[in-house]
Amino acid sequence: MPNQIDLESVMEGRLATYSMLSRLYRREVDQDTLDRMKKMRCPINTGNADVDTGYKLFHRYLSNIWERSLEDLERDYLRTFIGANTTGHSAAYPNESVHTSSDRLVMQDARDEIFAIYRAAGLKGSDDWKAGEDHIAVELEYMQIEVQRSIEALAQDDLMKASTELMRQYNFITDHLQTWVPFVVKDMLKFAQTDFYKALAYLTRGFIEVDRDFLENVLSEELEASRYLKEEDR
Amino acid sequence: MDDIRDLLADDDVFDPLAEQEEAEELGQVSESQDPEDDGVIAAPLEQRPQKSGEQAPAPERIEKLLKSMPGQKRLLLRLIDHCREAKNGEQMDEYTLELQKYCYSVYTPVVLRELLQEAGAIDYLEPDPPAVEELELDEADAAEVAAQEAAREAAKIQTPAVPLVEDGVLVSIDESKVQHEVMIEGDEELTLDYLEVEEREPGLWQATAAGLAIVDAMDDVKATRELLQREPDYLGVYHRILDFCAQAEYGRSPKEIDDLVNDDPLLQKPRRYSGYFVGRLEREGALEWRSGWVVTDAGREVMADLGMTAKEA
Repeated sequence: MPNQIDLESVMEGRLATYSMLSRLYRREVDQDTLDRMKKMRCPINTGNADVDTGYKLFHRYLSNIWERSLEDLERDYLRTFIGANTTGHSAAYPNESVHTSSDRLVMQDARDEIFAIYRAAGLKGSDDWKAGEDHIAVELEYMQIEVQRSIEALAQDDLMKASTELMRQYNFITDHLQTWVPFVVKDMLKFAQTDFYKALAYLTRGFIEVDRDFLENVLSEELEASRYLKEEDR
Repeated sequence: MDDIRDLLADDDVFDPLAEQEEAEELGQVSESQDPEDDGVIAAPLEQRPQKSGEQAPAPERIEKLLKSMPGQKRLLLRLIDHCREAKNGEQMDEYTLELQKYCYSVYTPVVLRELLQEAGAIDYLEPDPPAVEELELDEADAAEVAAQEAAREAAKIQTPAVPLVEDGVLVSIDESKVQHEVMIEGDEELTLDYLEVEEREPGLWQATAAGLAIVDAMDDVKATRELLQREPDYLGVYHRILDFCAQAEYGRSPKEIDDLVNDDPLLQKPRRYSGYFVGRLEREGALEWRSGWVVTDAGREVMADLGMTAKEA
């Protein structure tokens, strides 16, 4: 009996992908994460070239893991996201502020906006996290939490709540992730030396595009209504 | 009153460009001074030109490594010796951790192997690829295979180009490993193509000839004898320390050795402490730390040569 693709399975897939992406940006890969990744399927005909390339590169890297891979990945994480210089152009800085402020500094307006969004969603920052709320890992974790909330709302047949959560996700992608992630991805492709982090770059860019299209599809009526209301206001 | 600027002779004003202009006029601008040839400052490390020149030979690199890590020298030599016969990573890890019980290092076993490999002391032997069985095809089968190949080639042409990862590098995949799953979306049947990660068979670590040559050239007995010959005045002190440590099954603590020799009149001027002697004996391989200082086999051989026994002492 073939597996059914329905809204629930798509939402579960989105949740798993956001969770994985967030984890991979948060800190260096450890053995446990690597072991779990080795069990994943790498789809290669998703219809999005970046997603396919990302998975193909992950597959190539994960199929060639050897004893030094963890060390290599630790070094590549540092090289890619932290860098060895202070020029503001020597790594793929994972904070939105860096890419949206003229001085390429952390803790700028983007971080304040992001923080306000988290608070509006009833979330507060962990005391243990010191890398800024606009870090890509945290922004992806926010999406993960929102997807989880919409899954729960759907399970309770609370379509209004599910729709609100989905709209929040769509707005977050279009207002934030989509505006700066392509820049960090471009830098990742420049600085990363392992297929692993190149794969992460491709997959992130591709998945955000795919997810935005998915949400646009699901929310077509709401988006149409919202556009109509905006025009009315004018 | 004159303008102060008039008091300054033109020649005295520093003009950073003047020399350059002058040099250009004289045709003295070297290649390195040409701004167009200058490198970019703070470019990413991987974009900087690699140092040209050949790598130093393995024995030189190994010596350099051992010299740069004196505290780990014996551990490194033992690791080389351990893979005189090829060992897998797990066996090497186990042995390294065993050695590190008494020789703490911030380096993990994997990093130590990486250092040894870079120095040319050990090699990583990739597992042999599985033997492919050659099948003899009859004419009909051969024609069928050829037709399939042609069909695959034709399919490849129709497949949209895979995005480039780097200039000119494609993400190539082994089509035979692609798996398919049929999924249902509404009334539609979709085929999901995917790849599953394969475990890579681990390779083996084996010592290189250069690595083994350095291990084999190590002669702790000779080195200890030379040490004792170099410092004849302290021969008695060295004897006492070796004998004292040899008497205790689990070795002696630094405090015990301090108490044994620090008050010796010979050590008062110039002032020496037990660490001076223990350090030298350790470096030459006569003493070893195992939660206490113990005499090594080489140390015992030297003691036997000198006719020293615990009883006599």
